[in-house]
Amino acid sequence: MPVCSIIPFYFGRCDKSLFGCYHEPHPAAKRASGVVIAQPVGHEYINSHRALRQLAVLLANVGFPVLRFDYYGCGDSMGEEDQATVSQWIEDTSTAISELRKRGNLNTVCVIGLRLAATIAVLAASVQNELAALVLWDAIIRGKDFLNEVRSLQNERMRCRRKPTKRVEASNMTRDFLGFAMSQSLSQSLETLEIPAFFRPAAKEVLVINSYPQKTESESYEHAVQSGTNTEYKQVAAPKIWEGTPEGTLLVPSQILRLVVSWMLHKNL
Amino acid sequence: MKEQAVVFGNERSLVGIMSDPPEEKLISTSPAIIILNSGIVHRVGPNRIYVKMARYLSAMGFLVLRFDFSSIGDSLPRRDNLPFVKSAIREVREAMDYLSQSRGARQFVLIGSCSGARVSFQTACQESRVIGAFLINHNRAPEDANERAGAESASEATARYYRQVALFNPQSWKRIFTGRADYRRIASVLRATMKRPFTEETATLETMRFMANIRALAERHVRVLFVWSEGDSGVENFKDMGDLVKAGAVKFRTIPKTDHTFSSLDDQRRLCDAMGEWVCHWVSASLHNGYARSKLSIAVDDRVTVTSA
Repeated sequence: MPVCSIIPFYFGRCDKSLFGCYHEPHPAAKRASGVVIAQPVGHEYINSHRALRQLAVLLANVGFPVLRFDYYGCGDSMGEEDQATVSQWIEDTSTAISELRKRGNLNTVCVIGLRLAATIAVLAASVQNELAALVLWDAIIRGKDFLNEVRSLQNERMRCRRKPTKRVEASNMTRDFLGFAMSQSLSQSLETLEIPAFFRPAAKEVLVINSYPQKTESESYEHAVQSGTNTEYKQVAAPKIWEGTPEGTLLVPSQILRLVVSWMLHKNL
Repeated sequence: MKEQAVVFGNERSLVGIMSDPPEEKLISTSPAIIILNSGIVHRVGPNRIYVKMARYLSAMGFLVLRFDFSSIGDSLPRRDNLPFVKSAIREVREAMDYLSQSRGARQFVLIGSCSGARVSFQTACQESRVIGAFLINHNRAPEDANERAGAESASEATARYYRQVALFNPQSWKRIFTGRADYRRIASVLRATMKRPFTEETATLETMRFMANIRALAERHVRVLFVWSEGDSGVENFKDMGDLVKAGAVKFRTIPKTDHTFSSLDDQRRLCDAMGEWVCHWVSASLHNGYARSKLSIAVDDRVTVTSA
């Protein structure tokens, strides 16, 4: 094994390059499928980076080639936050799947998405050739709920600090969402974004994970079971890692990471 | 400008993103800029502000590297047992070596927020290649107080808000008397405030060492700017620096109505403006010496191009 088993690189269209980290699989245990890990957006991306990196390392250690990537306008990828769109993120997921297929010389790919990335993964799966598996970790069923959550956190954050003399947005068409610029068009797309009832993600196996009791829990379960695919639903008590903590620590929910790895091994992917 | 993913260091275990300025804007004599992790947030920085800062600086004509220390972000853990206070400085030196070998950089400016500011300062004291440091919310707390600093900074900031703003705001009093205030939060902040005088050591030796380091940097003509958000506790640690300020050895700047991580877009814009103003020194010096290859206006429509490592 080389000293550095993580290869950071840029891929995709030159005018919309995406940043990714390719985690080489353990050579003694290379498996047939690769795994794309799609990371959340905005503040949730920062807070869950450590956990998703750890997940990628665990999967690579048991033989999965893994590509963990940032959407356009997020993380290290090209573009500014207010240039991002939902359709661009769906395209980015497809680009990452193709890149992993090419890089790992693989026929089958699984996608793991956390929060909004899980929602995007469902939409991307429908335009991809059938995926081997889809792991939806605390997927956002309705974009509107996500926007409300962020608005409420934004209000809480601004409550105990001096307000700027003049509220300055990046432009008239952009809103400040917890320090990230969100364009009006993205906000409008999220308002209407929804994982439809009875969705049938184009994946052979689906794992739905809910890590905290939520009002959409039963809905999510219903979605999963009625989708008609080979779907499993798991409720795991774990912190909302994407929210961060007041002390600024980044949480790694080992019980969920272990669950995902053992499920993928069990399914013989 | 061009962004590139790089792996470097003695063990080739450190991961970073290098931003090369557009060819026509490159200032060959300007220092290269290295941006250091803020706590355990990876190289994009809190609220992705390091990405914005790097692109801003690169558009001005600077070569910029932002990278992850060992065990942070995508960098691998170290194989030795060096404590962070030592390994961080060693890794900044490895970053400088890398930029020297790959791009011919000879002088460096360090930028960091919070713990990144502390590492920047300590490295500047030990490394002659550093000619400037832009220190955001630098806290003089000794390393063993790090655990405490993170947990308490939130309640300290809230306490300052209560003291400086809410106390004089009729709306806040109205909330208290109408049962709409967050009483649990107020009680917790009051508890922390009352406890502090008994737990906070003045650390005289630490202060003296720090002052000596500042004087040493001034003798080397290293440009140092301490920037604080208005509510940051670090500001209070620097009240005894009057003589150094008068001597011009060190500059301070407080950005009003901002918080510790510059968490609103407006905060971020003002921080970038302060940084741009400060680094202009090297741009003007290059122009003055006739080294700049072209005019240095920052085009707002600069687009990033990216290359694979």
